[in-house]
Amino acid sequence: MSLIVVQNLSKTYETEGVKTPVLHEVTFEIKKGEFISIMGPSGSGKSTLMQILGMLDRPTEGTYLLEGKNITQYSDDEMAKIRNKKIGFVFQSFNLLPRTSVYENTELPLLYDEDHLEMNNEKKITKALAAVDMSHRTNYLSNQLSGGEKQRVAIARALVNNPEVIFADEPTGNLDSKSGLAVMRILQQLNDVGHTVILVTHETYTARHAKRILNMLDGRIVSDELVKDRLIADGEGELLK
Amino acid sequence: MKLSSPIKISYNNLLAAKFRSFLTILGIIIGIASVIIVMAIGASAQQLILSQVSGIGSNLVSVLPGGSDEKGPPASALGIVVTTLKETDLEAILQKRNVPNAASGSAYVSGVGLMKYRSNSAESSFQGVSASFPNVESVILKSGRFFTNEEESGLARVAVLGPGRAVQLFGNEDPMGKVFSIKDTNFTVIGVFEERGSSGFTNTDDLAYIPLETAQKILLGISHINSMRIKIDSPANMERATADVKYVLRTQHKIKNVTDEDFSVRNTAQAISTITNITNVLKYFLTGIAGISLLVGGIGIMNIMLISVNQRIREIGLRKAVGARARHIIAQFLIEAVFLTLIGGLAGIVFGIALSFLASVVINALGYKWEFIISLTSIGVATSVAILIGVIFGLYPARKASRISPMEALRYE
Ligand SMILES: Nc1ncnc2c1ncn2[C@@H]1O[C@H](COP(=O)(O)OP(=O)(O)OP(=O)(O)O)[C@@H](O)[C@H]1O
Ligand SMILES: [Mg+2]
Repeated sequence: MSLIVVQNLSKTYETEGVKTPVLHEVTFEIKKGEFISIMGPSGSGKSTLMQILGMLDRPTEGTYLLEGKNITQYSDDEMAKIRNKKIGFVFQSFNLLPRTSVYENTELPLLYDEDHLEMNNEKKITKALAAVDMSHRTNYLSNQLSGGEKQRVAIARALVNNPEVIFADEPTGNLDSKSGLAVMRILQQLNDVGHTVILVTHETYTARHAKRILNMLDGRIVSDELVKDRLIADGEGELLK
Repeated sequence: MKLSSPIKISYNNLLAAKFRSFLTILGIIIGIASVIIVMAIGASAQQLILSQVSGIGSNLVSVLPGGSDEKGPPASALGIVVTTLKETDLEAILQKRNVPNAASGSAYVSGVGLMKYRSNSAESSFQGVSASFPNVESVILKSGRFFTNEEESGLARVAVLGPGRAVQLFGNEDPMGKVFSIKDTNFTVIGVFEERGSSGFTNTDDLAYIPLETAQKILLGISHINSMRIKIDSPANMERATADVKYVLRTQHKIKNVTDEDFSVRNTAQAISTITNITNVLKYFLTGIAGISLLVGGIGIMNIMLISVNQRIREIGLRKAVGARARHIIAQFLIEAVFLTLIGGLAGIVFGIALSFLASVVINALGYKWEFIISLTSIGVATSVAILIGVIFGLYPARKASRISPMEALRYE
């Protein structure tokens, strides 16, 4: 069974009576354990699609099944609960809480996990910070970190609840190439241990770290193909594989 | 969701904008402080006035000349001379068959005259009273004795002094047996009272008490009396005795209709309830004014919370993205608002107590017996009000925050 099934999904924004169609009858599937890049030029609807897949927004038309369940039946609070348990987000602009420690930023999703309140929180946080190689900065405040470090904390926050899917919208967009590479390496490692990773990017180079690339143009998917010469980010630099 | 986290966030936000936060909670500090002060001073003032009324004596029925309705003061209390009340009225009241519950009674006339002892002289007040005066009012003799019925009817020139008057006339000398003059008539001091404190507008400690008829005939040249007080045997009989007194006076004055009464009768129970009513109204009025400052403070809180929500739209979006439900966001902002008002409230309580204490020190220094009263109730009320203001004025911003869509919040620049 596919993790994500999208059929004829459309999205039209409506602001003050002005309708902006952004997605047009998009159809595709994503299986558990995939690493997929959504590519396309600016304004093509990548972020919009990611937000709908991440249950931050609802489609105007069409169906979206996550683990076989149609999300349109859920209330806002139920969607929040699913985001909490199954989805992790990484954004281009990090979105860490200001004046708050690395530890507390990572802890955030656990605070809203009402089924497992206070259960092994410290262990989970330590593990997540170790996975992004940020254990040595646990007690730093968010504003005492470099951009690359911030993004690694953001990834720790995304994976602390051990989600099924991790969505990353231009995670390297604000980083230099070295920090960007570190981020890609972490995402690949997470994918290796079983997380499904959905990456939004407009750079071919970054996209080629995934196993599959969806190309978008004007709200439509124009190509959907596996990556033949996938890039693997490791410590010493890029290796062609 | 853990409670410690939102409190910590509130604390951090408070510190991040110390001065702004201080300005915001200043409204609450002032409001809560005024509530505390009003409640403290109101309670003390009420205490002071009531102790003055009950200090005269308990179970008293007072009669003033001139008619009035129940609530208003009689004309005589406003300085208009009414001559219809006579000592014979008191004698009639004190007859057992007329007012069976009357235990004792005294008539009063008062006047002002030059009092002289050697080189000491001053224009001062005196009061002519019946020999039974000590049975009516709560007075204690420090030395000597009060005058007798014989001295009263015999126009004796004797005086019993309030302690203040004794000191003013005689200084350090022992006044007992000494002769001083009122309006050039010589009086012998036969007793001095213990201190009683002021009562109403006159300080009874500064008076000279002389026999009623001596005052009427020799000093004032009048045959009427200014007022009388009748002591009733028990509080349970006050209402009945008050009615009896009125009946006797109507008979004495040959009045048929209640509306034509040329006298006014009050009892201490009525006086206390009237005064309590008046001071309560004052207290509520002042509390209302304090309430207005709290309202202003609350609006300040609402304003700062709305600003805070606007500044933290991305944070709200992020929290929702990682799983916060609407109620989590509401709780977070409500806790922040309550945190602000509670800090303001606690500061206001401390500030209010300090000011009330200062007021009591000053008022005591001015010579009043002013108790410093801070009730736990007022602290409890102030704390609850502070929390309530936080909830009321925090609710709208908090709900607004909770309704922000995560998608729009994360796109917000
Ligand atoms: N809330 C909104 N209301 C109206 N139009 C919107 C809204 N959000 C996005 N759009 C429009 O939808 C289109 C797609 O936006 P989206 O953010 O999905 O693009 P994108 O592919 O992520 O672009 P980029 O690479 O620049 O991030 C844009 O034309 C944008 O103007
Ligand atoms: Mg985008």
